[in-house]
Amino acid sequence: MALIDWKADMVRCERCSNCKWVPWQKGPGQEFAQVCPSISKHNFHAYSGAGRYHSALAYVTDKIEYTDGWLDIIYHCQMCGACDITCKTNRDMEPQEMLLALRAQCVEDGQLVPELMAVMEGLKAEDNMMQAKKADRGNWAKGLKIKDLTKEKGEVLYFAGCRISFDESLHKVAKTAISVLQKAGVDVGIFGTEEACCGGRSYEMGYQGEIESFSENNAAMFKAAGIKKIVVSCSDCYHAFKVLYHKIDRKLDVEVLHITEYIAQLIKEGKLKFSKNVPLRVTYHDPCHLGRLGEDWIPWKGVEKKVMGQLCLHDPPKVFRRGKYGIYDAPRDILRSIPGVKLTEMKRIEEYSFCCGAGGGCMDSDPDYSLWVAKERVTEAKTTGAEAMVTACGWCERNFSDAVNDSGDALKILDIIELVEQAI
Amino acid sequence: MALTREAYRALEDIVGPENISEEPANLAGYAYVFMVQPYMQTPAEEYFMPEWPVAALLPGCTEEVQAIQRVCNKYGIKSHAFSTGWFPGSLAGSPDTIALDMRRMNRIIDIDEKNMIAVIEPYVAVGQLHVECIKKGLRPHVIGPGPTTSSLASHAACCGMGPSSINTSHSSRNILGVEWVLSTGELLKLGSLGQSGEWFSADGPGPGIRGIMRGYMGSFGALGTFTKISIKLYPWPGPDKHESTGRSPCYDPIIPERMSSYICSWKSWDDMHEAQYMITEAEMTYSGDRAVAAWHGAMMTESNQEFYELWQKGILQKNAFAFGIILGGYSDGEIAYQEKCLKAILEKTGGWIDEDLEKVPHAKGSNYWWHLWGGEIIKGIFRGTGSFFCAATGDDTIDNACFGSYLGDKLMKPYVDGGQFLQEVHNVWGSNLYEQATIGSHHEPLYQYDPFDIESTKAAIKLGFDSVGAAITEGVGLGFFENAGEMAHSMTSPHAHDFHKYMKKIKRVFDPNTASDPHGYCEPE
Amino acid sequence: MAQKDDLTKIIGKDNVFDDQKTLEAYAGDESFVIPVRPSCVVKPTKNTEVQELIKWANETGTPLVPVSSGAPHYRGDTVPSTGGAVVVDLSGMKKIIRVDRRNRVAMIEPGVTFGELVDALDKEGLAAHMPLVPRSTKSVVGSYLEREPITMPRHHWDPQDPLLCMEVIFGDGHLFMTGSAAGPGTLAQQWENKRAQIRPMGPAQTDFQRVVQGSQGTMGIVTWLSIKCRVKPVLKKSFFVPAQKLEDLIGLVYKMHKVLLGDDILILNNHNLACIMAKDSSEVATLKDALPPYVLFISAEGRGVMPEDKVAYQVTDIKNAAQANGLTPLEALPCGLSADDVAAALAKPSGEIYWKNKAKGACRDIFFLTTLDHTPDFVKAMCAQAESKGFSPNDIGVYIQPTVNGTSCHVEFNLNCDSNNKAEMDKVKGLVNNSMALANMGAFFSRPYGSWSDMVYRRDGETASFLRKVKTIFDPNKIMNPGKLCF
Repeated sequence: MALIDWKADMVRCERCSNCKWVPWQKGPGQEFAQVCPSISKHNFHAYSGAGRYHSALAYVTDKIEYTDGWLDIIYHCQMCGACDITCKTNRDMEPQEMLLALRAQCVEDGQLVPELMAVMEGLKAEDNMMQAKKADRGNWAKGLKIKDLTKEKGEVLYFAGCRISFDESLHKVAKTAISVLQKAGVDVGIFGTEEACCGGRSYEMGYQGEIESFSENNAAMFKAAGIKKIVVSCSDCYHAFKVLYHKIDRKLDVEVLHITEYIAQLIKEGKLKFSKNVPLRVTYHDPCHLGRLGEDWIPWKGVEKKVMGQLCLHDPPKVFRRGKYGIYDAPRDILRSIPGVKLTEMKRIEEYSFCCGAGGGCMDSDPDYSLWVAKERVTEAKTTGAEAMVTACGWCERNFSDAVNDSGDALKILDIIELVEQAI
Repeated sequence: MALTREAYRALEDIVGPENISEEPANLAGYAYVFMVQPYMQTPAEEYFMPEWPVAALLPGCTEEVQAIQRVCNKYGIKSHAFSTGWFPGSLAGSPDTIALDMRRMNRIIDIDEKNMIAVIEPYVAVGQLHVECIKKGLRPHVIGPGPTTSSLASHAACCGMGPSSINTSHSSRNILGVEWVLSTGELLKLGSLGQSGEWFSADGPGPGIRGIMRGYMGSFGALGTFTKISIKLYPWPGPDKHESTGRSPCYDPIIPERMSSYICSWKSWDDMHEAQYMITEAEMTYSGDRAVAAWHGAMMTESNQEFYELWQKGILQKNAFAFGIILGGYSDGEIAYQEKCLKAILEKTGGWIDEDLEKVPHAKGSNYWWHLWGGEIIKGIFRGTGSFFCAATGDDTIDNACFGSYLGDKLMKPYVDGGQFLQEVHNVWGSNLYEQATIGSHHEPLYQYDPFDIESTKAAIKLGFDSVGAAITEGVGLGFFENAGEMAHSMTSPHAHDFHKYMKKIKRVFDPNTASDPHGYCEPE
Repeated sequence: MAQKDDLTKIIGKDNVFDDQKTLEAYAGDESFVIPVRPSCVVKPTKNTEVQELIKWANETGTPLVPVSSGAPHYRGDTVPSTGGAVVVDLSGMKKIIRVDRRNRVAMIEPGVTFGELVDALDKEGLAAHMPLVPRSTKSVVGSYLEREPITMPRHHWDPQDPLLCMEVIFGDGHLFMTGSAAGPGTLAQQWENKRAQIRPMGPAQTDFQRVVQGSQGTMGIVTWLSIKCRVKPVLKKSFFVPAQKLEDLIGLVYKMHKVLLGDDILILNNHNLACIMAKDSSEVATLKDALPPYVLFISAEGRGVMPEDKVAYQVTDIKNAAQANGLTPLEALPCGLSADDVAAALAKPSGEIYWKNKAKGACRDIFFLTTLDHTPDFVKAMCAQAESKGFSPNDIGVYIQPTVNGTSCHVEFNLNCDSNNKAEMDKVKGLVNNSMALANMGAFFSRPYGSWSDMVYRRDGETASFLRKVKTIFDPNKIMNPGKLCF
């Protein structure tokens, strides 16, 4: 849908400001009550979900034009979905979709952010979001005995994703995942150097064309390799494959699993057992794209209709994705079943988790801001008394690691797969 | 007109460059809120306030607010303080106005458990304060707009009725201390605060200055900016933390021991209001207010679709004259008394608690949340159509509220029948029985309209205007919240001893340079 | 003569007085303010007369000093501060205009006393909100306008209570009604529309009645009030909680507020309790000796559909709360004084001898607001100050009254004295006029009578400046009680 198609939502946003806050029923007090990183840093109302509704309305009603200031507002947003979910605890509206449409409109109108342009050029040239050479993509797997699914067929694909593939300090995530899966007897393979971006992050930056070609290419590769199951460590890739591809009418004919889902399954099937003690106090960070944005896409094509005079319904009835069915339990079940691990929750968790700061292009367009957000989250993690913050996304891990390094914090940042390996 | 560069630089020097903005996309956010058209009587096609602020600022402390105010006086600019901004009165409405977004002033300074007093800054949300207070066995008054709203703004400068008013009164009555930056930039501290720095009493010495500060409604920024306030807190019989189950969108509360949630129903307004007299005389409920069928139906469902399906079942309509109640006792004896009393009152007045309604999954839970912090209003009143406005209100006795409710029904009927508003039954909120109804009851005939639908919005505008006259003619009251602003006063003041003449004098005397935006109050004499 | 003629035309000759005896009677009062003789005393009987009077005062620049209670007066606010003033005595306006049982409200004129009110309400099944045993000549309107605290903190939601709406003629001559009384419609029309003038806020964006309350007649003259009443309880249980030290009672009082228990809640020292309950002066000393140093008085009232149940659970909870604080509630004290008798005494005005005067014939008060936890410190400070001035703390009555649902506390020291003993009166005057030490400890003199005005407004010049501006709005020609407060 184009931006103008969201005008009804814009007008009906009454400015309740729930988009800024953790749902009240979850008891946010003086601290850690804000759910939107953007307004948490920038403070002006325009930097909230409602604020962007209002500026978008001003644009579609010709009250404002594009300015650098407006682009600043639009792009200082992680597209984390927090405003979407908290709005939807009360409303039948789609803030996230409007934000995506707003970015797409910017790109369509040539209103581009130079830093993101550079990222996009890299994507086009080298099939990745890291402005790195495609040829280096498979380096993380050097020395691993693992099936090459570009040459052989196999049912289970481990898709490393751009961040993990090109971020050397995160190679361990992929390697550990492979190791654990193999120990569980999974016949897993990879695409290695031939792996190409899922297209998810560019979509959220407003470049909605790229995902079309990447999804087509990826689907073809999956089919050619006979894959039945994709397993990812990266939550962005999870969201892209499971949600975005379905959204753009390219639903994959394979099962998409995050590594945490798969591990939980394997444990249930008795293929993985935890026998070692891992004494560690941890807290868990819900990645946005695994949690609240990780719900299945629900296709809907229809119209708005009014009943009872002015009650807004949809024809056919529309089911709203409200974050209820994101992946929250699997990671927690895993952590709770590892002997020695003591999990203490932060205040902002599950569908109202506070973003790591890496998403929406912010890491590229304003690294300082992105890091600020990560530091906020690290501060919250420390209040739990945890020795480590555990998460399930390479982008989160990178941003949190940079945050703790920058401030000299002792808090460890771990991918959940690392604890799994320690325990088996 | 844009700020002169000199004025801009003067303001930037005070707050810092990152805390001032003239960016139009930013200012759009300070020019939009629901109900603008019926409240301002502007055209249905115009979604935004007619006047936008010329800049938005984020002051960080009282001294900055004072300095800003002095700049306003010097350069002929107006200021308009703005916290969570959930009402047209909160927005700048006059030319050459700067929006003071108080978001950086967000501290809960103190919660005095013994004396039941909280001291807060402007951007403390009601929901935040509530959570911190229940840790100490206390709770603040909450207003209908709910937990995202600014507690300070409600108390010092805005409205004040809420679902818990039966035991937590009206915001204007809960003020104990105020730090007030006057329109001139001087700092006034009311009452004991000015005498000894203590926050317990805002009246005196001598006359009560807070009578100038606000009345039934507040000044909406027209008399300066309130930078701190102390408010009464009230006892809370529940636990120090709320527990709930479920995930978005419905979080079901675990209703604590010695507390109960009911929706009680009667056959008519008259029967329900009779019961309210008995309820308040017996002082037997922790919280209670009108449970409007469509509202509460919306609150207890996860989507409009689900609400519509529930509506089709007819359960809500059967309970059209309903009153939501929370019982809460500090002892077993007390809760037993309340339960017994409720049963007796229902029997005496022909009321009932509908079993089918009780079985609707989120019915009790949403009623409970509503009374704690008013939050379910968003589901209740906005999810359905997008906006609402009010007809013919007037606060006085419960009987007057009953009378007003009939009038509200009558006024809304042609529009409801004509499809311009939500087809609710008896859509009258209120029965906020302030202080056990010893200072009366609020009632608010609400109509839910779609701001995206021009015809619906036009109807809202028309009825908003006509209902003021109707309220006056029928003797119900002075109309929607006794109206704030010049146009509204021109309609109501001649019927109420020309009160606005004094307001104009107040404005002239205390804001000689009109350095605070008058739009939500009145122009100076 | 011209003045008297003018006034006669407005008020009627029977109600205009300029004889020496009358003028002397109104020149001063029991306080320490300097007496100033008025030029005339008028006793209007209608609001139209009051309005005409104020208009006349504006035209002639004549100060007006309103008074509604009968003598003796104690605060100095009804004594002219400047020469040439006309005292407007409203004590003859005695109509109880309306009693509305259903809405628990009454509407009364300024001259109605507590005794008259109590009787009228009783007939309708209502009871009044009482300050502590007011003198028999005390005007209800006067008391409520002065923000005198009532004995029931749970019913005292706001310092304004029990005052609801008012009809006031401002110093500019404009007749105004506040709160929901403002309109629409006349009072009769409002009553027909089932409005009862019970909502105090407004109209609109100003709480006019707050500006008049506490103003000591400097903003205008009130010609009626609507006031909160309570439903007469079907049943009432009362208790004493005795203690050796004031500190011992504080925790229990806080607990009562925290769990919304009790109706009457107040603390008296033995001196004050003896003065209230003794039949006459001769009994005060004996009774005082038989009483514990401090007594917390609590009552629980039952009304509504289940009054017995209401009282029953409160009694249990009060006893449990007391026990948890190491205290025991008693229905009677060992000396035989019963709590029910005290409850009865609190429900009506003082007898012929005003209780404050029983011990030594006269009394002067020092009172202010604070929070309950600070009250023991103030008692200590007051006693120390008295001793330092050679005034015996034994002659000081202590009255601690939680207010505004327990968020603050009225503290009152009643300095019993013999008005014929000049040395003693000088000491008392010194203590009353020099309350700075108490103010420095945080005492809030919210009702600044006499010399306290100077003290409070010097401490807070901004408030004084603000109030002077307020005065220009409601009394532009400064004819209303000039010289009071900061005016």
